Amino acid sequence: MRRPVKHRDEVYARRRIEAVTGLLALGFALLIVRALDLQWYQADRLKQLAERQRHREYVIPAPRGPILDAKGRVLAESVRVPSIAAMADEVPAERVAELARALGKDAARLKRLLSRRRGFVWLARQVSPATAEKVMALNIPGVRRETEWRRYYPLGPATGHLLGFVGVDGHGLEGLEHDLDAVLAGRAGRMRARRDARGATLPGGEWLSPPRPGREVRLTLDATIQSLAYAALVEGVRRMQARGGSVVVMNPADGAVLAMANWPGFNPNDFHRYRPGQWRNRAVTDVVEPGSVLKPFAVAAALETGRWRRDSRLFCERGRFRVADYVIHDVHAEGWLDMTGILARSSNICAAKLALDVGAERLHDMLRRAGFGRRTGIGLAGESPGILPPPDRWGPVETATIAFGQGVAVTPLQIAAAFSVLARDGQWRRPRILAEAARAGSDGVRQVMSARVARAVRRMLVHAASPEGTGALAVPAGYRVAGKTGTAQKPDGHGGYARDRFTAVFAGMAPADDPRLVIVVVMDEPKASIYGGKAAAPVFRRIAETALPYLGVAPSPAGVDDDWRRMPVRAGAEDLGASEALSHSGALPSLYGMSLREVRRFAAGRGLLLRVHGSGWVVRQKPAALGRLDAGGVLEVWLDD
Amino acid sequence: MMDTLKRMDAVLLLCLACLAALGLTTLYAAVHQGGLHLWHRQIIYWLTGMAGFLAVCFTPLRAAGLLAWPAYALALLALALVPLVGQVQMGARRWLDLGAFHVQPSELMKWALMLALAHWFASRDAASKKNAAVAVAMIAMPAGLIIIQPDLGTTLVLAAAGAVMLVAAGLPWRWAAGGLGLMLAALPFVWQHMHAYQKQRVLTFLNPQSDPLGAGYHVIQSMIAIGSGGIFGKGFLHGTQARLHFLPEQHTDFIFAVLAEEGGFVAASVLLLLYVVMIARILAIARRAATRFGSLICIGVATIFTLYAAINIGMVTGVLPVVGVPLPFVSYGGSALLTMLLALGLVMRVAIESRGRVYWQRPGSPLA
Repeated sequence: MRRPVKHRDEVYARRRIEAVTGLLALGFALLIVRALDLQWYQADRLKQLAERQRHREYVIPAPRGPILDAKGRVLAESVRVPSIAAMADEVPAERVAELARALGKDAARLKRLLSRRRGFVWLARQVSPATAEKVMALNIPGVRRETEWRRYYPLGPATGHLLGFVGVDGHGLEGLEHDLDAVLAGRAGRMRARRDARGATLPGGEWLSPPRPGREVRLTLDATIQSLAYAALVEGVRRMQARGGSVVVMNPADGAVLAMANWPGFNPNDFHRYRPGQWRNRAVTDVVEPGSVLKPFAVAAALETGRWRRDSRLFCERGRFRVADYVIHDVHAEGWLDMTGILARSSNICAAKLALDVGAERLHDMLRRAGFGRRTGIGLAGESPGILPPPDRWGPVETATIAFGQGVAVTPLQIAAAFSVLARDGQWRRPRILAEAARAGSDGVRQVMSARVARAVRRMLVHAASPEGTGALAVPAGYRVAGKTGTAQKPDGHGGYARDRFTAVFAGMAPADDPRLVIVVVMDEPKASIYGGKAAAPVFRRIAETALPYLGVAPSPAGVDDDWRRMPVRAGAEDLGASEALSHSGALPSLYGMSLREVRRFAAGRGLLLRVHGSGWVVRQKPAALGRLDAGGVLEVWLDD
Repeated sequence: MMDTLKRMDAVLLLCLACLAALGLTTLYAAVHQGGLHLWHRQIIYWLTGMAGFLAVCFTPLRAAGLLAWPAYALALLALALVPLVGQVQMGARRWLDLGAFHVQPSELMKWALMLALAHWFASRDAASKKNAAVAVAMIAMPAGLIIIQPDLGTTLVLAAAGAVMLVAAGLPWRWAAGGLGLMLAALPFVWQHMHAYQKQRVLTFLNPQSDPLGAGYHVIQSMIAIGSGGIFGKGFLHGTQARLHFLPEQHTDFIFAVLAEEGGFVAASVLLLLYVVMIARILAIARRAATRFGSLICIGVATIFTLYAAINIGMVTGVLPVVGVPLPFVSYGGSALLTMLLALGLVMRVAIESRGRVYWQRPGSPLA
């Protein structure tokens, strides 16, 4: 087989070898070209790619700024909470059951969650530290603990409506959290960490931009007053079986809102469980017909004309007064009353007569300047301007009825701001919720009435909140209160008024001589009693009797004679004493809680025969529906201490 | 004995030593995180392979001639057995279980075919239709058996190596061109009979970005590694692509990317230069070989080395589809290294037997 290579063959073979060499050399040349292409021409681009994929950018959420009350107490803060996440494809299937047990989740659902995607999945967000410890102690591959910020509201439901809440993404969804989101929300930081191809982050990393926490916001609110206002409101709502209610507490001196609470309440720490309707801050978003609480402004408008004085007297027509085609009734027929009496007895007729004398223009002007029919500008989203019709649309009937609070719609906050006018000598000041907003300056300040008139009306209102008036239940022992009750039928939605749905209001200030607090209580559809004097005034008293000592206003012994003996030992057992309700006609639902004296007056006024069992206050009555009783009927009551 | 050692080709030996050093260094970079036992094993493979290399150097070439046909027949038989009793791995039957170890008959066949073709044309004229037809059949039979395994990569290497040997043996250019034309014409037919995963590979090769996290992932990551190495590289053991596990198969098929990332274009060029010098040297030995058999063996070995290197690097740099071919002397793996060192031993034996022969030089030859 070994054959000597002949010369011709040899030349031929060499040529072939050279051809093959050329072929192979071409291959290597191409490889060199490709290497140059990648490593020179495309090097920068590919370097960038390598850089980018071996770094991962993380968004590190920044904590929101805290919301503090006027004294620096925390109303809302962001706290670190652990969340459990996983790299789905790294979690061994046989440990899912274990994991589910630790998380308290359904194993099948967890399995589905983990099989849906390959990479990062949240397993349980914002869990308790104990749960996180438990899960991490299992040491399951792929399961990781992340830190998130969660908003925490120490006062919970008490501040729920006002502060609102924050969504999972860290942005405010409702309330002040939403309105002030630009300030409160921090700027998330971006971190670049090295990672390997399996997605595992290597320790260390550098900030591209550090997270910037949100700025703190300080409110005028006082956490203590807010809490007790909420508690008083809730208790009042419960006792009156009302549908809802609102309380606004203001410092009349500077317009600072000290408390703002609503019912139905919700817990912002767990807002998902509540209906959106329960999230509303009714104190600024909802309007009510104010009823008689508007009368002080009608009186003020009258006094401002100079034609009327404190001691001017009006004839109240004995409970029936015709204006054009409309008949105004007084719940309690009166004869001659001076200005104080008009407010104390809450005479619709006299208020109407005053308004007709003053004229639509002037009354409208007074109400308008007192802040009705326009937003206060407190800076809460969704604030309603209320409804105050322009005076050119007021006929005599409108003029007359608006004087006692019909045909206008106002927010609880507007009432509070308007009563602050009476408290601070006629000056209206924009209510404020943010501590730093408009601390000084005349912005948002206007003179509504002369200081003389304001003081005069305030003094009259002391009588309205006394046993001779309708608001006696508003007075805490040892203090003098200037305030006004209001009871209004609710519009029925068809242009008329519902017969059985009422709004009960009490607006007032205490102490009457040097008001430190203006408190407005609105009860929506109270059932146990419909009247402002019974449904709303006790809430006022409850707030005032706690908040005033807290503010350093000591009770004075120069109060009403029997005051000290009336001080309750047990909250809630004593509220229903004298009231405006007694002589009112019509659909009085209940005598419950009345004293024997009041029941006697009631029965006498109706010409009823009375049978009494026991002593103390009414706990049971027969018949239950008093409206059906005609004169001469028998009313049976059981009293008990 | 000493005489034989003295007659060894020094340049080839030097190339081999350099490749061993570069290969082991690169492998160290690829496996130094938790895979050092592989590196130790590779050193053992090298020592074993060098022993085999020396053994071949001391064996007369005639022995190879005697072994050529039995080896071919044995390999063909083994290939025929694979579909019947072979081991299934990754959806293909490629391995025979011989008790102590596994054998991949297609790997054996490459070298057996090379030997058989060299022997066939050692005394025959390739310009004869009959001789050429027999040679084509010698290539086609194993190629057919391998392609049904299925193993497209090895089939192509086998066919290409055989074709180059045909050309080197003196197949008329007309016939070679005709054969090439036929193969191109058969491409659509082949495409139709390819397995889905093979089609997928080709499609991914044509557009790797179409599936950056799936099939294209390997190639994209290795291109990123190579490109980000730039001219001078990121430094020994500083390749981020390799260290952070972005590079797949970084100690076997994709080891070139490790080299190019950490050593940059410089290191890649050095490796390519070593290959070129080694191939050129082998072809030089082919030209001065005392026998046509030896000459053809050298051409076969050079062709297979070049194909391995070119296909591997082409795949890693994204110019060729992904087929499992090792980078000669660098990739981790015992059997591939062993067979290549044995093959190199054959070349060295040709050099030894042709020592002192003044070969004819054509004026102006680039290989002069």
